[in-house]
This record gives sequence, C-alpha cells and structure tokens, in this order.
Amino acid sequence: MSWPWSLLDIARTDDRKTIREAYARKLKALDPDAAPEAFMDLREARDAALSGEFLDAAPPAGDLAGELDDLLAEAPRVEAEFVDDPVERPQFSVEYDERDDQRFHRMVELFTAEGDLGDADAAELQRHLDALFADDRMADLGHFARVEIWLAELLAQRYPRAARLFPQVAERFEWNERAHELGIHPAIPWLVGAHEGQALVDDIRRRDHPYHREWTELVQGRVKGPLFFRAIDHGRMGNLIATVRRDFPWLEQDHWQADLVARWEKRIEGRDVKGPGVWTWIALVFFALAVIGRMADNGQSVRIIDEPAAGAYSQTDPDVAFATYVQARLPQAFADDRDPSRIQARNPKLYEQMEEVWALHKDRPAAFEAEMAEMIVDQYFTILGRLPAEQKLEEIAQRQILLGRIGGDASVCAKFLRKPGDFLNSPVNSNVVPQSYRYHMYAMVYDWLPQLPAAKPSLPWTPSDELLNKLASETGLSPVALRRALTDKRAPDGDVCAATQALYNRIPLIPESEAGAILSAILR
Amino acid sequence: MPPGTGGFRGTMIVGIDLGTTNSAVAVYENGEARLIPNALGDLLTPSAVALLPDGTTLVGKPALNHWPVKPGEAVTSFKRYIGTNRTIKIGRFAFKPEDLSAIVLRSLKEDIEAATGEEVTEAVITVPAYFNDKQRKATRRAGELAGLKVARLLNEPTAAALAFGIADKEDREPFLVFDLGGGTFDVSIVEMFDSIVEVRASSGDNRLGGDDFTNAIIAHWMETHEFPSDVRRNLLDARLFQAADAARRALSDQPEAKVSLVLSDKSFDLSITADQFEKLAEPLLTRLRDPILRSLRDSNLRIENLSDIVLVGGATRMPIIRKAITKMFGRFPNHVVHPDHAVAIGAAIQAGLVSRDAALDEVRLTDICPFTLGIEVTEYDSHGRLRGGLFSPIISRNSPTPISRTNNYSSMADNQKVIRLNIYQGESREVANNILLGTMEMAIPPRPAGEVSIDCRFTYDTSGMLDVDVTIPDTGETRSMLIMDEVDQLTPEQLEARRTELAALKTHPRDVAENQFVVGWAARLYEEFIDDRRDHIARMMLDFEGVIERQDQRAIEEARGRLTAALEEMERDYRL
Repeated sequence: MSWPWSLLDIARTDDRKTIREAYARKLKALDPDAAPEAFMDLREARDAALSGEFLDAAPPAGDLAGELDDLLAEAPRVEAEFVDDPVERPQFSVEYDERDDQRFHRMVELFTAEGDLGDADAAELQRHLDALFADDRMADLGHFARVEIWLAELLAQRYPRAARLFPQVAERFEWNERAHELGIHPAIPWLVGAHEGQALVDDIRRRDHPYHREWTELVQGRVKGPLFFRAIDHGRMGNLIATVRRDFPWLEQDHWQADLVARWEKRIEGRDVKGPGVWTWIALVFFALAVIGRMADNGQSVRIIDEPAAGAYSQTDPDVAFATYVQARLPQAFADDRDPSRIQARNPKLYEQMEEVWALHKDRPAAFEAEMAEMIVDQYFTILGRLPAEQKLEEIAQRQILLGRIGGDASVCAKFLRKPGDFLNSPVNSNVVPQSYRYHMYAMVYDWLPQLPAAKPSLPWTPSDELLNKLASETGLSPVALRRALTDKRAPDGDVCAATQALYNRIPLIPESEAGAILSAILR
Repeated sequence: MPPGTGGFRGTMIVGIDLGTTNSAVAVYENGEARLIPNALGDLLTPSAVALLPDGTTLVGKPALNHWPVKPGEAVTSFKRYIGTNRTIKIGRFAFKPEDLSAIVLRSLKEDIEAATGEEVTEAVITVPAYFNDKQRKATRRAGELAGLKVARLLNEPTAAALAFGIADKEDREPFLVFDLGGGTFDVSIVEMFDSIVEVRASSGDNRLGGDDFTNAIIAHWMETHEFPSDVRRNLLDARLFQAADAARRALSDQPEAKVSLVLSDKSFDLSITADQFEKLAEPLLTRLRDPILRSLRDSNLRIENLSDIVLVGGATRMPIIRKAITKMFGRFPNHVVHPDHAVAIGAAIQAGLVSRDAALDEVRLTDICPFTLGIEVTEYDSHGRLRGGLFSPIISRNSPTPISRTNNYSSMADNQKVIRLNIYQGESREVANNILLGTMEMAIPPRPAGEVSIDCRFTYDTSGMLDVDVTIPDTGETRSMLIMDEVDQLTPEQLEARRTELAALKTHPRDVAENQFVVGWAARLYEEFIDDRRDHIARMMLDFEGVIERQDQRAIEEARGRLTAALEEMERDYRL
C-alpha cells in the first residue's frame, strides 16, 4: 500500500468529508476506463484513508509530501464526525406491547439461567422462538436485524446451554461458515465455529466414528478393550490433532489431556526414524511362514482374529503380506487353488481391496489382520444375495454351525441373525466364528466378486401358510408369532432365534424352486 | 437536432433499456435525457417479436397482439433465456434469444432515427446487475447484430440511480434501488457525493420478476378451472398469460379482478382477489429478502442508514410489492422516479457521460462487480490429500470496476504439459455450485510439480466484461483471451453473416406499422369475444381492410381513428 495521503493530495486527516472531496476531485481528473490501474490505486487510497489506519503510520522514506505532512500533523486534529445521520430517520413499524416484553424477558431468563437446559425449558424456549419467527413483524428488516443480534448474543452468553436451538436460528438468519465476512456481530461467527466443534465432539463420541479410538485416547488415556481395539493409527492420530488444532483449537483445551497430547505428538514425530532394513523384513517373513506353516491345522481350531499373527506381515510387498495372511488364517486356500499369488490375475477387484487394506495398515499386523477379515466379510455380504443357490445353502450350513456354537443364548443368536455382518466383524465374537465359515467367505469373494450380475430389487418375503404350519409343529410357536419372527425386525429375540433355526433346518427339505425364492429373500 | 452539446464524435449515443417485458429508448441532449416514442407514439415498446409466415417481422405492440391469436408465430419474455443455448423456433426460423433481442433493438434504432433524423450507431444498453458474464456477452452480441456498437453495458439499478441522483445533483446518503422488472430482480446500494455516483453493492436474483407473479395466477387458475383440452397448449398458455397479466394489473387498484376468456367458443369467467393473490405470491415475496440483506451486509450498512428506497421496474407497481417493501424497511418507498422510464433515462445519461457531454462534466459514475470471479483449483489439505473442485476467488464481489487482479498458481503434476483454467463465477467454495464461464488451456514447460508458476490476471471492465490473461513468468509467454463460451463462439465473419440473415427479415414500412397494429388488435379482440360483438368486429375489420386497399392516406387515417375508438370502447367493457 502506498502512502494514501500523497495520492489524495491532502494532509492526514480523519475528516471523512475532506477525504471524499479529495477523492472526488482526483476521480474527475482521470478516466477509469483508460487508466484502470490509477483508478484502483485511487480507490484503495481513499478506502485506506477512511479506515483510519494511516493516521498514525509513519510515511515511507523519501515521501516528501508525507514528511512535510508529518511536521504539520503536530497541530490538533478535528475529531471524526459521526456521519450516519440521515435527516429523515426511518420509523420502524414494530412497537412492543406488554406480551412481547413478557416473552422477551422469559426468553432471556431461559437462555441465560445457570446449568444445562432441561427438556421442559427447551420446549418452552422452542415455543417462544417459533412464535417469534412466525411473527409477521419479522418482515421488517430493521426488526429482523435487531432480533438476529439479540439472539446471537443470548446464544453465545451461556453456550452450550441452548446449543440445541442453534441450528434453527442459524437457518433462519442464514448464518454459515462465511458469517465472519458479514460483520454483523462477532458472536455469530463464534457461534458457528462453536457449533461445528460441538457437532464434531458429539459425532466422534459415537463408537463407529473412524476417529473414536484416537479421540478417546487423547481424552482419557488408554482405550479399554482387547489389544487390537486399543491400537492407535499414528497417521490418524496426526490427522486428528492437526485438524482440531486448525479448525477447532478450543476443543483441545476443553477436552484433551495436555500430557497425552504431548506424548502422542512426540510419537508421531518419531515415526520418521528409519525402521529395520528390507532384508530383515524378508528374513522375518520367511521365518514367520515357516513357523505358521507348522502351526496350521485342519480348520478345526478356533482362530482369534484380534491376536496378531505370530509372524510379521511384509511392509514392503503387498503380495507377501497377503500370502502371510492367507497362510495363517485360511490355509485351505492353497490346496483349493485359491492362493493369493493368483489373486491379481484372477480377481483384480479383490486384489485392489486387499491392497487398500495393506496400504492403510501395513505397519501394524493386528490392524491389518482385523481389517482384512473385515474387508472380506463386507465384500462377502455385498455379493451374498446374488450367489448361486448351492452357495447360499452352504451359507445356511455355515450359519447352522455358528448357531450351534453360540448355543442357547437367544440374545447373541438374534444379534447374529439380525446383523450377521456386524456380528462377524465384531472382535468380541471372533472366537465363535468357525474357521470354515471364514474360509467360505474368502472363497466366495475370491471366485465371484467381480463377475456377479447386478442385484435385482426383490419383494419382501412372506412365508407361505403351509411352511408356517410345518415350522409351527416343529417349534411350538404359533404361525402368527412365526410370521412376525421371520419378517419383522422387532420380533422378540427368542422367537427369531427359534424360528430361523427351524427354517434353516427345513430348507434342504423344501423343493428347489421354492427354496430359491426363500433363500434370496432371507439372505438379502 | 444537435447530438448532445459536447459532440466532437459526430454520432449520437443513445440509451436503451432492453427489458424483459418492455423496452424503452432515450437520448441525452441539451442537458437532459428525453425518451423517444416509437412508431405508435408509445414511450414503451413491448419486448415481443412476431414472425409472419411471409417472413415479415412485427415488433412491440403489434407482436404482442399477434401472440394470443397465433402463439406459434410470436414470442415474448425471451430475455429470460438470453445467455443460454436455448433456441426459439418461430415457423421455420430458429432464433437464439439474442437474435430476438437484436430484432427489438433494430426496431428501437429505427424509432430514434425516425425521431431525430440522424443515423444511430452507438448505444448504452442496460442489463440486470445480476446478469452473469454469459448473459452480458449475449446482450452485447444482440447489439452488434442490430448494427449498434455497444459503448457500454450499464447495470439497470445503476441506471435508475443515475436518473434519480442526477435529478438535483445533491449529495445523498446511501440509498437503495429496488428494481423488480418483468423477469429479473436487482438491488443496489448507491451513494452520491460531489456529483460522484458510487454503487456500493449489488445483489439480485436473475430468475425472479413480474412474470413469476403472473405465472402464480395462471397456476391458480389451472388448479381451479378445467380448460378445454382441444385447445393447443401454446395458445392456451398465451391466452391465459394475457388474461392473468391483465388481472394482475387490475389488482393494482381494485380488490378483485375479473377477466373473461373465450376458448373454443366457450367463455370462462376467471377472477382473483387481492387476498388470494397475496397468498399465491408469498413464496415469491420471501425471495426478495435475501438479496436485500446481502447487499446491506456487503456494503456494511444498517437499514437505518438508508436514506431512501427507490422503486424501479413495472412490477413494483403491484400493491403487494409496495406493502412488502414498506414492511421490510419500516417506511414508505420513494416515488420520485418513473418506474418504467428511469432505466432508459439513466442509460441516456450514461450515454451522455460516455460522449463527454458538457452538461455532465462534473458527474462521474463508479460501479461494482456484483459477484465473485475466480478459477477452479486443486489443493492439498493439511493431511496431504488432494482436494479438487475448489474455487479460488480472484476478484471478489462488490469490488469497484474497472478492476484487475492477479493471482499466482502452480502446476500440480510432474512434467505437466498443459494448464487448464476453468473460469467460474459465484460465491460457493465448491465450483460445482458456481457458474462455469469458460475454459482456457495453455501449454507449459515440463518441470517437476509446483515448479511452473503462472500468473492469472482477471480484468473486469466498466461494462461488466471479463478478460483473462495468463502469463508464465519463466518463459515470458503471455496469452490473453476474452473468455468465450465454447458453444457461443462466433467469429466476426459469422456475426456478420448472422446480421445479414436477420437484416433480410422484412419489416413493415413505418406508416404501415400503425395499420398493422390496429388490425392485430382487432384480430385479438375478435378471438376474445363471441356472438354479436365478434361479428361486429369482423365487419369493422373488413371495412378497414377495404379502406387500406384504396391507398388513400387521409381516408386510411380517418378509418383507423374510428376503428381505434371502437376497439378501445369494447376493450374497456371487457375488462370490467
């Protein structure tokens, strides 16, 4: 920015009129179309002069006019006039009566009382707010603006007390992430930021949030649960810290423990240190393969997914890592000609998925294992509905084995039947899932993933009366309860469990044509 | 007549308000702006064009009369589509919206030439402030197609502000211009001091206008009435539109409007009350608020600081609009300027400014760019992930024009060969929500990522046209281009060819135009009435056509006078 006073040809002043007159004089002497640069400079000079920033600044060296002006500036300056007094002040049509006053008072009370906002108070506040917004007088822009500022101040005063009313108010007044540019009231951008931060905190406290683990770690120290559940991804942790520091710096103070954050920062930084060389890894992998090879059994023993493989997964070569995984967890694959060395050629899509898992988790065997298993389960359930009938029958058979292992616990059984994917992915259940079931999933994904036809929408299934009667005689449940158990998600656990098991047992006896329809309905 | 007082240019520059519903033209001479009447003696020319099967074009009222009779041969409100790729078919001819605007402009040009006896080659044409770059370019092309050099495109509310401000040349605290035309809505906040008219902020909605209020009435009638299905769709539309428009106008001074409509020899009594209308218009009225709030916020003003609310545009005559404005601002709007004439007057004043008229020596106008302009960029976020489709603003909205700003960008990939600039207008951080104005590509020397930098310079001139220059400092190579739509690219030769094509469309000689208008009017009324009155009109038309055949000028004028009087009387009856 050049020295505005010399461009405008006036001594420094805070008299708006003098500045504007000088600007007008200069503008008339130039043609903006012919000399756009000169116009831009002039305009900038005027705005700078009006802003008052250059009142006390030192003139640039060599600016004679500026220096002279500085000498003269010793003389007392005229105080700025407040020039926003149009002769005719607008008369706003809004006048408050007693009821308005009462409502306003009550709202202030509700907004600013101590403690959290109770449900009853929130409902009352909501009512007042609705009434206020529905008020015809809000059409008056002056009133509108006053209410806007009033509400912003109230919301900010005891934030987060009335935070739940924020979205509605923000929508009404169109507050958004650009609110700071509007310069209406400083409370508004503050509120927008605070609300976003609060939304993030609420979100991240839910267990399925991808950063839940990292967040909890920073808030309360070590996360509870089995080993892999406690594993923290360094990259993710770095992300979380950087994002929060950049976008919601106050959350760090409000929620995190400073010493934990400091420790994690150190750890993340230290990760650039060079690890063991490539040869060490390769030697380790071979060693692991040898050990695991001898440990492999015939699929009878129960694998615990959350315990990292005894060996190390390769961090340098995905193929080696996959081979290690399959060798350790699904050894039949080699006998069945579904070994991972062929994946890339046979099933590029699956390979791609595996590579993704590897890229994300290659440095932590536990997470890699868990994610691989999870990925296979997820992929399997996306294709299950479209598999040929015999494979579906195999799925039923595997489910029966699993249900047999669960035993008589109806709640666990129903949990599996309602959401098999979640059940299989949950580390808590890993020791119930038969290894043969896992292998079946892998085999299906390996064989079918890219080549199945697109899913067709299917109608909801209603079991025939004949079937219901047969099942009724086996389970002792009434046909009505059976129907509910088979089609309604909200049916009691015990019924669901009994009915579904009976149905599974029955399926091989049902004629093929009918069974196909039932299978595709229940395995959607 | 002398063309302004300062005129060393020799030719006169005229001011043209090219509106959605009506257009007007004015000249600045002897220290004041004056509207020029058209061939029919009206100051407003409806922006309607008809093309008869014999290749003759009708413009203005005759075309508007032709529309409900033969809707396939006439078009109205085409300004709504200017700057889009839509083609409008009339008979065998396919027109782009700017072609139709050009036909209107040509007719206006003829009107001035007839009134002043001088050739007109240059004009200031007004556009809604919120018109985007595409729409502005199309308007400029329309001027060129009509054989007019466009000296300047002027924002409509700015024009109105000029008309308002120049009236007494006094200093004014910021005032707000509320411009609701047939198809567009603009708000500008303007200030005047020392004869400098300064626009501080503009905002608007270029898809909101009086037509939308008319359409709300039509939608209401379509719901409540069963119209015969054997009537052609565009005929029904045209007739309904005219009836609804008449009803909307009638509501300005009556609590209830009644219109009867004859379709397939059946008469429909349509009515609407002011209360009903207010309810129908509610969603439209709420859309008026956001642009006002935004312009106030952008100019950092509170509503109390506004010294005046100036209403412009025919649609501001509607009582519901005035009521809404009074409610919003807590005071009554200003009625000093004529809502239909102010824009053309302001355009003429601007024309006077451009031609350095001595009477305007002291006056200067500075306008702003009403929207943000920038390019699409891809960035690495703090986690090192690529994020594409982001908008990098170069000129931010409400910057004073002319303005030019430069930003520096760098290449994204190793050995990148080409940099492709997608130029956008809008306020969203994601370009997907903004308007793509054009694309340009430039070869760059192959280097590692980030090592090639380019300077991208945006220049936005006082007509609201955008220039983009790209320089590679390393090689010193510069490419400049006026951004153009890929589809709209017309070379000067193509423009010339199109102009010849349009010029080949015949127009009526001026003395015939008036006869044509009266015959068209009669034809429209013929369709609107049945039975006795219809027969009566038919007889009068036959008589008049007989007189025209005789080519006796005086007899024609007399007969025309009689017919006009009769038609006027009938129409008065019919409206009530």
